[in-house]
Amino acid sequence: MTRRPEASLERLVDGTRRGDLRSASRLIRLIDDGHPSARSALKQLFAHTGRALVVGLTGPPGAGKSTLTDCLIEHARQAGLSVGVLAVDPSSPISGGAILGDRIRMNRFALDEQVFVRSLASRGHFGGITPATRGAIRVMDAMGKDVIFVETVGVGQDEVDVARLAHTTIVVAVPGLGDDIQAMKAGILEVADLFVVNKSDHPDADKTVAYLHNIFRRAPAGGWIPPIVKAQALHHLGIDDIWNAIEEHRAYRNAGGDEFAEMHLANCRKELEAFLLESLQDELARKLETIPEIRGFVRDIAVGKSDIYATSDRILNDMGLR
Amino acid sequence: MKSNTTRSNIELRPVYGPNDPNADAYSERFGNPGEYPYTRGTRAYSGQGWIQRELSGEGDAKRSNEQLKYLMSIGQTGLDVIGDSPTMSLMDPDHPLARYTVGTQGVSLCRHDDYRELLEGIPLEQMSVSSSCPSMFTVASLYMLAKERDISPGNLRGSVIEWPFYAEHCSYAYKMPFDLHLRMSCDVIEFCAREMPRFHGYLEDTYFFSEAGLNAVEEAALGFVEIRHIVRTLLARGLDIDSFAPRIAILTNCSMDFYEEIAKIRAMRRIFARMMKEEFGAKDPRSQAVNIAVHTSGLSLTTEQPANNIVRGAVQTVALGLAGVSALEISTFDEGYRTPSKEAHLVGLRTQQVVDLETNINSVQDPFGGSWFMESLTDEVEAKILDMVNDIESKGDPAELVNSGYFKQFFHGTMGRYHHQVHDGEVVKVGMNVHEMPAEEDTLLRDISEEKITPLFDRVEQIKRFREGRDHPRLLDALDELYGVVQSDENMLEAVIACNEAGATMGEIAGILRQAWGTPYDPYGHLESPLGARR
Amino acid sequence: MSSIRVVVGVLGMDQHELGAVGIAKMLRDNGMEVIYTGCFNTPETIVQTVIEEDADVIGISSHSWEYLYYTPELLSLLEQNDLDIPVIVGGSVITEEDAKAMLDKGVAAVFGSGAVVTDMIDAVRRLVPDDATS
Repeated sequence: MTRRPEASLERLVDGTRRGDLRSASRLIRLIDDGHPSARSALKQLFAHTGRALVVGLTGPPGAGKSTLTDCLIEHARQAGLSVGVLAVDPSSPISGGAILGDRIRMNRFALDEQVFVRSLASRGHFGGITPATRGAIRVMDAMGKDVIFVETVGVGQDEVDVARLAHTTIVVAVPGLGDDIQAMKAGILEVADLFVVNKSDHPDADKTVAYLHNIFRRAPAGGWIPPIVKAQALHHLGIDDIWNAIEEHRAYRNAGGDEFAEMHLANCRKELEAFLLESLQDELARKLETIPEIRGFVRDIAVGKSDIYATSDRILNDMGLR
Repeated sequence: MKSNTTRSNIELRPVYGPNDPNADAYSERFGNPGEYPYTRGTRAYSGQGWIQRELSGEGDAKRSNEQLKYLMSIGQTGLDVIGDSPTMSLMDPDHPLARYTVGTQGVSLCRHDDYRELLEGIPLEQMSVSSSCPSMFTVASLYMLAKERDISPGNLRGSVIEWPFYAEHCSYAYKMPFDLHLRMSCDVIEFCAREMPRFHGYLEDTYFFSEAGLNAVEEAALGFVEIRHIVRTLLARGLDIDSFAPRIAILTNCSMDFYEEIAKIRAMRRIFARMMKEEFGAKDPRSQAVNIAVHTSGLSLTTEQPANNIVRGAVQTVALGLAGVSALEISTFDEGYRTPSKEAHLVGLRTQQVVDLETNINSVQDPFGGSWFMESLTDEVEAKILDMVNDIESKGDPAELVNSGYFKQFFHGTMGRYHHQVHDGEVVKVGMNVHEMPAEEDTLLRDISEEKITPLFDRVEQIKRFREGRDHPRLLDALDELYGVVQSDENMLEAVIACNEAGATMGEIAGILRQAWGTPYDPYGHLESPLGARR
Repeated sequence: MSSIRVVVGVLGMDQHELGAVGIAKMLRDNGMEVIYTGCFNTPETIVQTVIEEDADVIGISSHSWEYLYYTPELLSLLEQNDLDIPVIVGGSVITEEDAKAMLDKGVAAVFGSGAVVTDMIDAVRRLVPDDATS
């Protein structure tokens, strides 16, 4: 797959809809690279999405997320489901490069044709979730994947981001990781649909579970109290319980109610806004380059002859946006 | 023939010590050789040297058997065999991942028949059989062989390695959870203590992981961390310390740092003795006195100018003779490229024989004893080792450290450090970063060293056919029985022996262990469990 | 924005990971995205990874002779799958003769034990054609 200008976009879209791995994989690359044709592809695919169950997994490093994902893949495969996995890791802020090594933990599915594992780098986005992740989920959905696991690193804002994309967000934690549980940001605790306490053979495991139960004594806005499930991913223990919780959550969502409709609307709005923002930022960056006086403006600001407020007013005015 | 006089007819006494009876300090810190705390030697003077052997194993069991007989014919007095990559990872030769490594870096062993063929004609009651092959299978097969040959298993001598802490992250991945590996090791040690009381069921191998660029202190510290955890685990099973501690031994490394390696060995003996007596309450002197065997460092050798490696081996042998060790294996001059050639084996043994027979090295025990320098260095090395052990143990449950990748990170760090040290010239290697030679001129011993060993493709077919020819119901029953035993508290060895007798392969047995422990039968994702619907 | 995506891994039973990890870090520090596949790969798993990850280059790290057998298999499998992906092999046991043999078989670049890191980075950049933004 050399980086030549594209085999026709139509073929990639058709291929993806037919479940062709290479087409889908190439399409995800185009989306990841911000290729202009990607948008059109996503537009065409959108109608064919919405079938897949999207499960997000987040939590602090060392919690065992990838090992857990491996167990969940096994479970899904035993149930005859086709699986997609998106493993998101941070890009280096200095070099822009990244080491994407999560797929090692799922190596034993390397030759299972029904399991599609894709690694993505955050590419400068502070939250672990990127526009590419959204697009990649849609591509895997359109391919016909029954369940898509989205794994993120879980430091920073990205835990909260996952929640917007996933039907069910699992937060994975381990007891005894210092004060990590206590220190976990409020955001994570709010978005968790399901809590997994991994390495539950640890002596502090029950304490951790009790602590979490305490926090979730009162149901938050959605009416769903996140179950707290103990697991030992290394020994493949607790996986059935996790799946049951996911199923229960799905049933709960489907059954109902206004709260979910509200949340769904809110999510769609946030997603639209985020996408518009990105698009506008790209547009703006391009437009700024076309303003001949831009260098002069910046110099004036630098020497104190002008300020950013007046300058930006002027630019926006000239663009017809004020 | 050994003499106890110098060439100038000065008589050599077996041990030299202080005449002045500051006896308390002496006996507390040093003791005579063979006396607590064994700083100066595990045993009292015997005039015997060390067990001389070379690590062997190549191709199939038959070829390795011939290799063993050759080594015995040129004078080795013990034997040590290592498995090929698949064997060391509990993988059968017909596993898809194994295909290009069968027999290239050790002997291919996957069934009891292979062990029988490997040791055909080897006098088990006279020969110390040290095996670097997976312990549970070696012990099971040795026990079975003894019975087949009408020998009492109680007469078997030798050792097997236990390495639940470090093997996974340092060359020989069993792909098993730590606690399963630990269970296997403890079952082997317990079985040996009971059935083969002259056999070392627990050889702590610090050599293999120290080749990740560890220095002497780090090597010994990590070794003691593992020993201590295994001892505690066995004690928690209700065993008496003196029932198994006499059969703990150590296989350590020897680098080119001449003095420090001697000090390390002396320090290890003292640390072990004190730990056993004061911390674990061992009463039997054999529990307190630990046998230390050595494999000289492969990392200390170079691929450039292989002849230099012969010198390195000789220097290390002298150091070890001075330190007093129970057995010795020299890393052969072609180590950089391959498992030992016949020529390299010969040179290795001759090196040991020359040092043993032509110097007076065995006439005096611990000749460095009482040296201001050596005692000071021994004390310092000891203190550092103890500090590091405490430091690691203070970090929490060792099992958790293993699972969190602490040691894996550690090894990565030391390897990187070593590479930088060599690159920057901090570690000097004649022929590699100093006194180099253009490749075209560096021809001495090159052709032997660079010879490659072809993978045994036939063996793959052989095993496939073997599988088909077995009594399948009997095999499945035995594997099923093993499954149940793994999930209970029973010692696994009996069930493993039954599986062996039913023709089970090592890969199958290992897979059942994993499965019974709740993990995938084949962690690489290629094979299905033979038990199928039964479990 | 786009990045060069490199699949880095070790084939067969070779468990010397340090070289592969070192290379992965260098490539990352030079702005590339490294899909690190660790040990216990076969040509089949490497090819599957390349397809799933839409990779541009394959880097195999090798410290055992297995690579001599695996490399031709890998090249053949890539061809069968219509994948025009360059393969780079590096490692400490590679002799000059073996390096030549590999290059003859179609490996894009080979680095023995004396290799300099910048040479390797340059090789990767050279082998991946610039994405004419289309």
